[in-house]
Amino acid sequence: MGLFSRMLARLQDNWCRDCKREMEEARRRLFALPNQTVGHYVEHKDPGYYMEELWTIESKGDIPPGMYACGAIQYRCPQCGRRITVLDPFLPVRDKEKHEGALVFEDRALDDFLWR
Amino acid sequence: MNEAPVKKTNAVYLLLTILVPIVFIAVMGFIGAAFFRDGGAGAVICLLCPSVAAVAWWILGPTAIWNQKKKKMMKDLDAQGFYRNQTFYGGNQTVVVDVQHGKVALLFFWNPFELFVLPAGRITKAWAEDGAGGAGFMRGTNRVGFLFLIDNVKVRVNTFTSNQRWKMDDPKILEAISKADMMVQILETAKQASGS
Repeated sequence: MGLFSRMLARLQDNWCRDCKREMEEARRRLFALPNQTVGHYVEHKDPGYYMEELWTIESKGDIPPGMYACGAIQYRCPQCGRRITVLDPFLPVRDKEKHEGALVFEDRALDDFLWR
Repeated sequence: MNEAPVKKTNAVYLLLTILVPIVFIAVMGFIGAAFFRDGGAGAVICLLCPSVAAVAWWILGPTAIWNQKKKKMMKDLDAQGFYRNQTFYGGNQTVVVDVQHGKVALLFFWNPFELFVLPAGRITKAWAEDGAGGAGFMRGTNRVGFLFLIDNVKVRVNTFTSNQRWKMDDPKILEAISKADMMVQILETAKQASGS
């Protein structure tokens, strides 16, 4: 495996660290995070928190001003079948977004949550 | 509860804040000149200390009163059964909104002794201003806030101010715009709840 692939595996969330190849997007969802509001964002690393707090929404337009949203993407490695879930909490501001930094989870519980 | 028309500035308080230290300096200067003509510690106390005290008062005094009154405002509102859904501390004013009862509470820096608790229906207009200016790569802002007209008095609450121009997609600006939009929506919701 080349040095470039290793670097990508370290830097890119959607690269399988074992197979050093790009994972496929298996599921993409958008949620609201009603308990996270502008000026009071707190990062949580416990997947259980997100399973309790994320509310399913249809589009960004459903989120009132000042409330955080969270994009969720599940990736699957076509070679080894490894799955990860990337959560991307962000603040929608008119036509722009303020991202707080993606969180990567390998927790199976989040997998099921995304497919619910 | 004070339901009188909104008054952002108490002229007497403003004048006293500015003038009392000046009067104090003048009186102490007169005493110094009259009784300590030969100088010495008495002259220093009468001529130098009042000036230092006046500057300290101008810098710290109104802010100390303001901070104390803000704390008292919260206690008073709780005592009145005002449900504090949203509190916004602007530099020169504090806005608290009770969405359930459709009320808005206001306290102003230059009128800190009068707490206004008003039906939100008296707000005729509320809007956010991002202060965007400039063109191309120079486009940016140095002030973001929300404004509302209540009793035909325009109240401006800044959510961001700077002496530099910041890009419109800067995280600080986006957060400030979001706060302003959120406050406008909360004020509109409170206005509807008050029955107007």
